Amino acid sequence: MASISAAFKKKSTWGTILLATAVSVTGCSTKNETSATNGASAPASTAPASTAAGTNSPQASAQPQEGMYPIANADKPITLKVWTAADPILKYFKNYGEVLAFQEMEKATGVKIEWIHPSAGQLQEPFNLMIASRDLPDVILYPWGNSQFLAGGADKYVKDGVIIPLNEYMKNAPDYAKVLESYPEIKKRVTNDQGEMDYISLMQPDLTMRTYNGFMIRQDWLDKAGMPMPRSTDDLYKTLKAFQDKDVNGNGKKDEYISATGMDKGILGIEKLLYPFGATAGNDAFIQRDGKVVYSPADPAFKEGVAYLNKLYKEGLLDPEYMLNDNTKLQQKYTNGTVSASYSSAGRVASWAPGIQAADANAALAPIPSLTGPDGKGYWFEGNTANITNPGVSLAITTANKHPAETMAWWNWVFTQAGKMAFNYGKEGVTYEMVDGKPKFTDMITKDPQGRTQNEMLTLTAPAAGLPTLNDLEATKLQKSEVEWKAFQTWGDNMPDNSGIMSPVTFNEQEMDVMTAKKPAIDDYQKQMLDKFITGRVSLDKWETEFVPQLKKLGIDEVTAAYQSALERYNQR
Amino acid sequence: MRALRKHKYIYLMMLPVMVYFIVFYYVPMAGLALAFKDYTLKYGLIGNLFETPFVGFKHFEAFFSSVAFKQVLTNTILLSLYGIIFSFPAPIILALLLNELRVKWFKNTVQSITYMPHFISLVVISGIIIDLTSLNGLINTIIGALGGQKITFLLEPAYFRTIFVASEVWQQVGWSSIIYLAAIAGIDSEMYEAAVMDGAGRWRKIVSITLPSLLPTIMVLLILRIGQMLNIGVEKIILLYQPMTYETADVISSYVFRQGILNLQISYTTAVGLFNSAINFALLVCANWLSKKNDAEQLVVRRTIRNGCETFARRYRF
Repeated sequence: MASISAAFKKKSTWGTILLATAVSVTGCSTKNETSATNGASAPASTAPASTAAGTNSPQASAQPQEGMYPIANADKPITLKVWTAADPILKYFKNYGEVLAFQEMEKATGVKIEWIHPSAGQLQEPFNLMIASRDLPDVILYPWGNSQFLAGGADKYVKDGVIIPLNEYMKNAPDYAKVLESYPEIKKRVTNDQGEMDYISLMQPDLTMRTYNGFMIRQDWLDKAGMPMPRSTDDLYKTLKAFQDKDVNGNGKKDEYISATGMDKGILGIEKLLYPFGATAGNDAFIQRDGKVVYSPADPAFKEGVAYLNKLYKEGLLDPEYMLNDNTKLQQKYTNGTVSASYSSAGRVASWAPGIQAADANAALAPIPSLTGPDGKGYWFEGNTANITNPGVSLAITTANKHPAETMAWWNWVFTQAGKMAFNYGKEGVTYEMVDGKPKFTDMITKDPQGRTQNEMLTLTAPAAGLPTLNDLEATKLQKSEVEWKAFQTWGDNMPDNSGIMSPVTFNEQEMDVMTAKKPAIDDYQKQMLDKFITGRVSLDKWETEFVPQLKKLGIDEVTAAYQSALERYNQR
Repeated sequence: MRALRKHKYIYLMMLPVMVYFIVFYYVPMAGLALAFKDYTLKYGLIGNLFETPFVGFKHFEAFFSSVAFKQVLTNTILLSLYGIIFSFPAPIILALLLNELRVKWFKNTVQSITYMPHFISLVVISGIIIDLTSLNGLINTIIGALGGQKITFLLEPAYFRTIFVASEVWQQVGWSSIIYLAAIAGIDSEMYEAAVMDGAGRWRKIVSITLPSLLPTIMVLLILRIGQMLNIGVEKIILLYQPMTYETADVISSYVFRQGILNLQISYTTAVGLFNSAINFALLVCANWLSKKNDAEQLVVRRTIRNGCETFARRYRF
């Protein structure tokens, strides 16, 4: 009978329940803080200038001029609600309002921002919930140009009255307009078939600075095994074999694997390993070849690539549990010495190394320049490398915004000289000093007492690379650590054929209907089968007899046709 | 009416509960209308109810004819059946076993340990499961030490249901056994004394006294459980499954999550969700009808609950 007393008398148990409830309640609430602490004094200090700005209201000014700021002051306050993911800063800050560049921006423009950030690691889910419930902020930063994140593309969201075209307000953003004039390719990419510009995107005009992804490998193991840097998929196979035969991690087991993350669990997915074969998979596996749209999983190159991965899997060279990895798990496996190579990013080459070195002092990570496939050529399907505009980071104004003109003028500040300096370098005298007319980062950035990397410090003060800005090669180089910049260069200089990347097309209504009706089931099926083919649960002989016919049954031909007509329209722009 | 006036404070106390149910259970039901409409982002939730055209059973037809239909329905039914077969009796057995323990500290310890997992966050539980079942995890290490072939458990569709149900039992067994222990406490101790006089051993007492006395409680809980049959712990499924195990792991709710939240097919998934609820509702009606059929049993149920409460109150001087 004491058992009941155990259940009901235990105060600590009830305390646990209360605690759990409290945690779950706070866990659900979104971070929603105004940047009042830093912004309160800003309008007052800039008040004298506002009289001059009053005559130069943003609506009237068509020419780039510093005089257009501030656009808001104590008499005419403007507060914008801005929704954006802010993963890199959430570890240290409550919101972007604590980032130096945004503080400078608020001082200069007078516009106050109420930041709304989804929890770290979440993007699509909170975005979809927000849109579906129509609880719209004024500005949304989201991958507006990336159909993987946005069923139907930005177009559909304009039609559905979620965001507004920016054309009308271009006159309020003279500096941004000037950027578009000097880069016609950018303009083509951010303009849709109807001539509307729906969003402002991150712009990276130089190939090197947008090639931040590629394969990486343990350089110290290459040295230990006496193998050269692999340059083809055959080399890679031999290298992986040598790693295991020579037991480079020295634990007596054959557990030096090439790995990846599960397709829905992380961003370093297995489908990237198909690139050298001219194939890809996942949510958006459409590629173009000589003006024709090809659905890669239904293409023979895909079969060839999967056969290769299946060989790696069968021979125990591919991590047998890659599907369960998320980004953190993959990093752990690098650290405990069971992963030798994977798809990666420049940032990870730099930031994962210290952790691995803590476990193994000799460890070193190196970027693999590029891999050629069996046809002697290599291919690459990472959208950002072809995209002078990075669709992953873009800004759109919602229909709920009462100050669209001022909002454009507000973001235009990023493209002014002062804005460029603030977002690329921070604040003079604090984060950088001018030495011989060139900015040089101070110790605050380069030698953080808490041991944070230069990259991390810049993300917290001058985050140009993560926002819809115009990136500058000199600044990018200065911002990156040596290791990281070397990865950028290695991958950029050796870029394989990336002409197969799908152009940023927009769909019309009929095409859209086909997409929403057919594509989810196709994606679902294809992802299930990819892992089954690789692991050999389903024999690759079934690729012709079962897989492709099933794709056709699910309507792949209609979806491909929709892409084809959209691509033709894009090419005629 | 007189009763209302007489017990007005009691009714007043009920008011917040009714408001809660109306706001959180009845008002959202209006959203079910979306299953018969074509949701567009233009109008928001409320607007869509009035502005968008009525499309009839279009979304239901699309679901019934989709490739996913057979798979998610089979998985949902099988996982709930396994849940009832395995995780329903487990707490009863645990309660019976605990009741037989005579060493107080040991009993308390066992009880605390068994209901501890109930308080661990699901995300952590899933992390533990993933680590336990991984190639270098505890289970595979044991298999390896015994000379067996290591198994990538979470990648094999054949193991998913076992892992899911087994972890469910582990997580809930202690917590769910509390109500049975309370019912056991309500059994008249004179019956046991009389049985001892007649020379009954422990086993006899369990079979002839404890179990029959527990039966009404078991029936009530079983009926409640059947009404919830198709509501499976979808969060855990989403944390544990991946494309390779969809064929045994993907249930209606996880399918709704993928297509609705991730692909924004609001109307379609509302239809799928409504289908799920309709089955649940039908099951509940059946279960309720079954329970009403046996009025005598209802009396027993009421008596047992009352006895239990009284014993409880006496013991703790309420």
